[in-house]
Amino acid sequence: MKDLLKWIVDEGLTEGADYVEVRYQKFYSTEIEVRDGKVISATPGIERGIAIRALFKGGWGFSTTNDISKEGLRSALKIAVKMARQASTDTELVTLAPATVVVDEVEVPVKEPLEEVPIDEKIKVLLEADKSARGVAPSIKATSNYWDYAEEKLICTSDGTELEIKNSWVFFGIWAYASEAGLIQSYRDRFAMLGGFEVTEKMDVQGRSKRAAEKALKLLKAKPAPGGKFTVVIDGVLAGLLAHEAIGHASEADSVLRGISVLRGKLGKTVGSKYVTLIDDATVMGRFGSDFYDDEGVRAQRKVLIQNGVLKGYLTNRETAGKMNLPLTGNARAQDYRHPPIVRMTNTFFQPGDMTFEELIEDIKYGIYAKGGRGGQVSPAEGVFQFGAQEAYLIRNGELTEQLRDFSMSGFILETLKNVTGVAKDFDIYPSFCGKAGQIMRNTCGGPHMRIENIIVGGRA
Amino acid sequence: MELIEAVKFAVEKALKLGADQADAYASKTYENSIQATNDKIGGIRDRRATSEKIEGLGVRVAVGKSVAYAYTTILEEDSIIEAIKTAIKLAKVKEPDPDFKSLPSVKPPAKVEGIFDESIITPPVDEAFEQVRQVLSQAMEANPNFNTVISGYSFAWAERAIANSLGVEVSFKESMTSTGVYIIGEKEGLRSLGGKSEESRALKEVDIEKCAEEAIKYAKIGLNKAKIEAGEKTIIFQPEALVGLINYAFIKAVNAYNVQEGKSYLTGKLGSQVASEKLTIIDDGTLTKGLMTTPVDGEGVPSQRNIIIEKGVLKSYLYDSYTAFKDNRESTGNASRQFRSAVTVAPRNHIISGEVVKKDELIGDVKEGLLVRGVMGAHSTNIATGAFSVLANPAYVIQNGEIIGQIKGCMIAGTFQELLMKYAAQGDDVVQKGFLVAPSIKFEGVRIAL
Repeated sequence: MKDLLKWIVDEGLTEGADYVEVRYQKFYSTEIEVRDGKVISATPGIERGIAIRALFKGGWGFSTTNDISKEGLRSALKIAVKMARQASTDTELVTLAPATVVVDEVEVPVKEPLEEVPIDEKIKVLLEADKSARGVAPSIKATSNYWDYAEEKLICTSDGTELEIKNSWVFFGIWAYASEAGLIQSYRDRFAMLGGFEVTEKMDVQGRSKRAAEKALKLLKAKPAPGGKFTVVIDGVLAGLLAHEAIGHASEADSVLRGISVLRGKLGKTVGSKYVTLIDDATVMGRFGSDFYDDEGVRAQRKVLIQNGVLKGYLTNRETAGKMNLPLTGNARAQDYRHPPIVRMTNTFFQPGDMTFEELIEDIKYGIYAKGGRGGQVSPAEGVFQFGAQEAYLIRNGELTEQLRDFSMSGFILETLKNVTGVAKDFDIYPSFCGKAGQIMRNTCGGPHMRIENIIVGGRA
Repeated sequence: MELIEAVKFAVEKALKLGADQADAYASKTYENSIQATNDKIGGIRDRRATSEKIEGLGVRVAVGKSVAYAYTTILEEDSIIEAIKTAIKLAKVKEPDPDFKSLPSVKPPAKVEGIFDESIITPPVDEAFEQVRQVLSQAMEANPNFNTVISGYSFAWAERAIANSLGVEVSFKESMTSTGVYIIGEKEGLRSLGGKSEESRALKEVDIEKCAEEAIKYAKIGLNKAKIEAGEKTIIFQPEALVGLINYAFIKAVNAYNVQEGKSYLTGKLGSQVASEKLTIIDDGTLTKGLMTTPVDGEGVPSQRNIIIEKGVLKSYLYDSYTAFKDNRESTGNASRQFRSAVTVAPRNHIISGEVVKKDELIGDVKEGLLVRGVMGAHSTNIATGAFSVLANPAYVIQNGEIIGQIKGCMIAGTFQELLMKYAAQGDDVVQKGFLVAPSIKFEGVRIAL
C-alpha cells in the first residue's frame, strides 16, 4: 500500500501540484447499543478509504473515495489536482510552514486487539453495565452505548514524510433515566481510553453505570434552577467544557486567520485573570485525545495557550503556521479518510491552582455550584458560549444547599476568563467528541474546580 | 455491481446462508463543494474545493427473532458475502427480541417529484467559484465594519437501493445543492454575525445573491447594541433557529422508540392537547421537491404524509416497522438508514402550519420582543421533561415593530410543551432548513433571562 501511496504522491507532482498529501486508512469499528436489557443494535464494520489533498497556487483540492482500486486512486488524484487548480488564485499563495520530514512507525499499545475479541463479549460488558444501572431502583431506565475503533493509517507527503500509525480506542456512554409521579430526570456519563479491549477492565464500567443511575434518582428531588446572573463554581468537567468550548475553539488558528475568532490580535495580551492557565497536550499516553503525529505528519506536542491570563499561542496546522508565522503545534486532525485535516484540539485543560473547594465557596453569599457537562456550544466569531450542567446546587452563605435541575449557563469568552476569581488544586478530565466543520473528533477536556463571577444562568424558576 | 443488483444479491445470499428474513440497503454518494473567505486583512483567500465519492452496502438479517446488521464498502460478491456471514453469526449469539415480528412487506413506492436534478452530476465548479468571488467582494464593501465574509457551494447527489426478502426492490436517485454567505462585523467591541444559507434539490434553485443580501442585512443590524429587560416577551423564531430546537425538543419526543421506552415527555399523550389549537404539524415524505422526499423510507416502506399535531392535538408518533409492529399499527415511513448503521427513526419534511400573517406584520405587531435567528445548546434539552435552556444567538430586539439592534447573552428557558402552547402566529416566508419546512414563527409570553 505504501508504494501505491508514494506513486500517487509522485503522480500528483507530475500533474503540477505544489504539494500532495495522501492518507490511507483502514478501520475496524463496532457500535453497540443496549436499552433496558435489550441489545438494540450491534454493528461491526471494516472500512478502507483514501484521502488526497493537493495544493496548487494558493488553492486546495481534496478528494476522498473508498474505491481503492488503482483506477479509483488515479481518478481520485486527478480530481484532487483539478479541484486545486479550480480553487487556485494569483492573489494569495499558500506557504506551508516547513515541517520536519519523518519516516516512522508508531502504535498505541494493545494487549487485546479489538478485532479479535468476539462481539458477544463486548455485548456482555454492556449488558452488565445496563444491569448495574437498572439495579439501583425499579424506575430506572438506561441506554448504554459501546463504541470501539481500531485504525491503521498511512500518511505520505510530497515533502518525503512517511508514517504508519496504529490507533485503538474504546468508548462508553451511559444514560440513566429515573422517574417518579410523571417527572423524569436523566444523568449521563461517558468514559473512554486509548488501547485495546483490555482497557475496559480499568474503566469501572459497572460502577460508573450504577453511579449514573443514583445521580438520576437524586435529580428527581431537585428544583428548577433560577435565572439571572450568579457567581458560579464549576467542577473540573465543566471547567473542561469552558476550556474547550469557550477558549479552545477561539484559539484554533484557522478561525483566527479567517477573522472569526475573538482571540485574533490578542497574542501576548491579557485575556483572562491570573488564575487562568490553559494547556493543550496531545502527548499523554492513553488519554482519549492523544496522538503521536497529526494528519499532516507533524509530531504531537504539549502547548501552553494561556499562561496566568496572557495569551501565549494558537493551535496551528502547516497552512496557518506558515501564513501567520507561528510555531507548528501538530493540531491538524481529520475524523477519517472522508475528511481533510483541520485545526483541532487534543486534550485541553486548565492548570490546577492551590485552593481547596471549601475555600472557593466560603465567601459566596448566594451562588451556584454546577457539576458535570450536558454538552456545550460556542460561536468563536461572536465570543459567546452556552453549556448545560448535569447537577447544580445553590450556595448560601458559603454552604451547599438544595439541588437544582435544568441548569445551563452562558457568557462572553473574554469577560468570563477575566471573571475567574479562584482555582482549586483538584483536577478532573472527561472524554468527548467535538464537532467542527462536519467532522467529529475524539478529545478530552478538563481542569480543576473554578469560581467565576457574573455568569448568566438560564433557569426558569 | 449496480446497486439494485447488489442489494438483490445480498438478500438472496442471506437467505441461502441461514437468515429467515433479510434486507439490504446500498448507496453511492457524490459530493463536490467549494469554499472561500474574504478577510479584511488578507483579502480573498482560503479557497478550497473538495470531492467525495463513497459507496457501501449494509445488510440486516433476522434469524428467528434475533436481528443483526453488518456492512461493507466494497460492492463485490465476496465482500458482501463476508458481511452477511458476520451478521448471521452475530444474530445467532444475540438474545432473541420478542418484539421483533417481521421486516416490512412490499407495497408500491410513493410517486414523488422533483428530487433529482441530473445537472448536479457535472457541477459548474468554475462558475460557482466566480459567483463566490463576486459575493465575497460585494459583501465586504457593503459596510466598513465588516471584517470577514465566508461563502461556498455544495453539489451532492446519490443513488440508493433497497431490497428485502418479502419482495421490496426499489432504487432511486436524489440530488441537493446548497449555498451560503456568512459575514462577521465588529463595531465598538460588539461582534455581529449575519448568515444565510439555502438548500434545494435543483441546481439552479438556490440564490447566492439573495443569501448575501440577507446576511448583509443582519450583519448590519447586529452592529447596533440594543437592550431588553428580562421577563416574559414575544419571541419570533426564524427557521434557522427553530430547526435545532425542534429536532432536539420535539422530533426526539415523537420518536416511537423514546415514546415506547417511556423516555419522552409525550409518552401517553396521543389525543391530548399538547400545543396551541392554532398549530398543525405534518410530517410529509412525499412533498414535491422536499429535501427529505423519497419514494420509500430506509427499509422500503412507501413515503407518506402523516399528521403529527392537528390543531394542537397530538395525533401520531413517528414509526419505523419495528416500533409500528410493537404498537400494532402501520409504519409511518420514518425509517432512516445509512449503510453503516442500524435503522433509526427520523423526520421527513416536517411542515409547520397555523395562523399565517405577512412576515412584515408578524414583526410589525410586536411592541417589545425578540427576533431569534439562532439558538445555542438545543442539544442539551432533556427529552424526558421537555426542559430546554438555550442561548438566543444571534438575537435582535424588536421595538414598536422595528428591529432596532442586537442583544447578547439572552437565554430562553422553559419546557417545549409550554412553548408549543404559546404559539401565536407565523409568517408567509416559508423555507426548508434541513427537515423543517417553516416560516418565521411567533410565540407570546416566553420567559427570557439576561
